[in-house]
Amino acid sequence: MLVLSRKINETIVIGDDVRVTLLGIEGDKIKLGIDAPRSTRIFREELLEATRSTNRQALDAPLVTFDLSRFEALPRQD
Amino acid sequence: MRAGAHRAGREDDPMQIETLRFGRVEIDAHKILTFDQGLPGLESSRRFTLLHLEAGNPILWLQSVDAPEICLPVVDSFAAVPDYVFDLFDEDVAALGLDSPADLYVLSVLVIPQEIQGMTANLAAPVVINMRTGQARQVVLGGQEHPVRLPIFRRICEMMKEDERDAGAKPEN
Repeated sequence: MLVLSRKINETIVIGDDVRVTLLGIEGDKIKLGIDAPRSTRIFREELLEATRSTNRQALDAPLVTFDLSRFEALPRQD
Repeated sequence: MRAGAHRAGREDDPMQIETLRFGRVEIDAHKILTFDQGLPGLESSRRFTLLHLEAGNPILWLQSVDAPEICLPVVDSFAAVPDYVFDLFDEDVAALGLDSPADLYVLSVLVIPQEIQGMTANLAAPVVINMRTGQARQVVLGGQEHPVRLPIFRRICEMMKEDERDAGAKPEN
């Protein structure tokens, strides 16, 4: 892993098309600005892990049916 | 955007699949959705179909065609969250062969606990389907701050009531 230090408003260039700029620091959070073509996939790492775990949890769902006479949602007891 | 899960213009091609929740189900092979990357966390399965438990129920079931035990509850994202907006990466638009927004159908995966009022929708990773080709991907969104677990029970009940009103049907048990 390449480790660099940046001050606010300093930029890192990655490859030909990606620029990352430190925009600000607030407490333990930093704000990054990322300039990249729309062809580059950029996302928060924890979202991928959160999606994996919600997908796995989704498998355990009870079947949900509706009692239309009362507009109520019920888990189906099959 | 209310595209249905049907691709017009071809005769049905019936096939039987085994499912854990619904037993043996007959589906139209033309309606099989292909996820070239699988789903995050469930990458072994590539082919899915959408099943409806009952008419008017907004919760659909994304059922693996090959793995009977892989079945996820989903909901039409734009119907559930009318002001939902996101950008797709160019790579995903290209992989899905999307050339018109009319071909787009977007679903959100639901987590439904035993206490079903606690059900949530993952808006941070929509399931994006090209209805014309059947290609699909679950895309983890960048930039935009969408919730992974949006409480959605109230909205699901509203959708069901809206559907009942639109259908003009008498409620039945």
